[in-house]
Amino acid sequence: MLIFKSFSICSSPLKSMEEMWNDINLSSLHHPHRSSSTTTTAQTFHFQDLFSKPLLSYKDQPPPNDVSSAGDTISFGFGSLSQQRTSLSLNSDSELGFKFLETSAFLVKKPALDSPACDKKRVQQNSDDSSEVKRKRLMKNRESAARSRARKQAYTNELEHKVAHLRKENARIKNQLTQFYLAAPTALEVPKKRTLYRTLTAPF
Amino acid sequence: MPRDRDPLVVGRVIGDVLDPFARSISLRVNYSNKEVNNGCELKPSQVVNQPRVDIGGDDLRTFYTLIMVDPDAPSPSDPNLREYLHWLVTDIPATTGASFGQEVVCYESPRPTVGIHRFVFILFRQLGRQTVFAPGWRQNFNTKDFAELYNLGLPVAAVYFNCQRETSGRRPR
Repeated sequence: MLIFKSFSICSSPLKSMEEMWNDINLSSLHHPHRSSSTTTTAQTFHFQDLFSKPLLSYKDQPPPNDVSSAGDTISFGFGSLSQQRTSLSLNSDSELGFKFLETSAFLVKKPALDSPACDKKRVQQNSDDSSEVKRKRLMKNRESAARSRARKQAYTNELEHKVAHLRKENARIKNQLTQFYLAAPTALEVPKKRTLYRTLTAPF
Repeated sequence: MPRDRDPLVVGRVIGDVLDPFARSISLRVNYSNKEVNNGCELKPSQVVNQPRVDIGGDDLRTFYTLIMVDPDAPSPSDPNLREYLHWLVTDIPATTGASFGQEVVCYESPRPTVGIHRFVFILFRQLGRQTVFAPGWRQNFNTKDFAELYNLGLPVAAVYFNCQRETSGRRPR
């Protein structure tokens, strides 16, 4: 699972690139055991996408970010980038089959205000951090729920399979038994219990 | 059983621990006469001592290795010690049980602290006798790599159960 830290796109492209690279490095440090190949391909996709689209002006209305999921890789397409602060998280965990449209709820767009740049950034980061924590918790909860469902389903399947197997075996054994009864009815007659017979009675 | 209904697949044992395989040898695991069925839940107090393990097959000259791992150590949401090796028994002759084999890594009682863990028993056929050896440590064991290292091939049987920390007083769901 790959989770991007939120990153903000400022008006100066150079600064934003640096920030983004920093953020990427940080997140890959947090998740070193994940396969690097998925990390790099996911990252590459994003940045190519980022650079290919021209930065729109402040006035323009951003088109909705289109989100598509394809098989194992979940990828984002970016809309407008300038002046728009977007926080996003990426999850490429295919086994859980996340519908990635849900993550559009994660996208938080804050219009640029005319407060000082550093204050803006701090407030941004605080809210980003808390929303990041919230997002992480949400993901964890989702995974936990998925595991719980899988657990329940696996046990049910096992029991159903066992029942079917036992029923079959039962039928087979009963069948065998009836065949034995038919084949040799006399052999199965319980012999009369042997009781003790007197052979001699004491004379007194 | 169709692939997607197999409890080992649904429970992600095939995926997290093993590759898909075909069962060919019977494997029965019993903790105090309670047989382990895939996905059943056992309490830590029930699995303190090693279970009775009976295997199938037909030729007493064929030897098997039994591995028991916890792929959810220390916690299923963050299994950074996956897999934790709990037991390793080698040179088990076919048709017998674990008590007839060599206990290369002694049985360690499951003691999950966080979350619900899966505990998986895997049976492999050995190429020969005395061809499988203990790893250096229990954590971060990799069953697939281990099997490759000792030419064990694909598993011949597997079964797993769930286990979580025993709580006192709380009403079970």
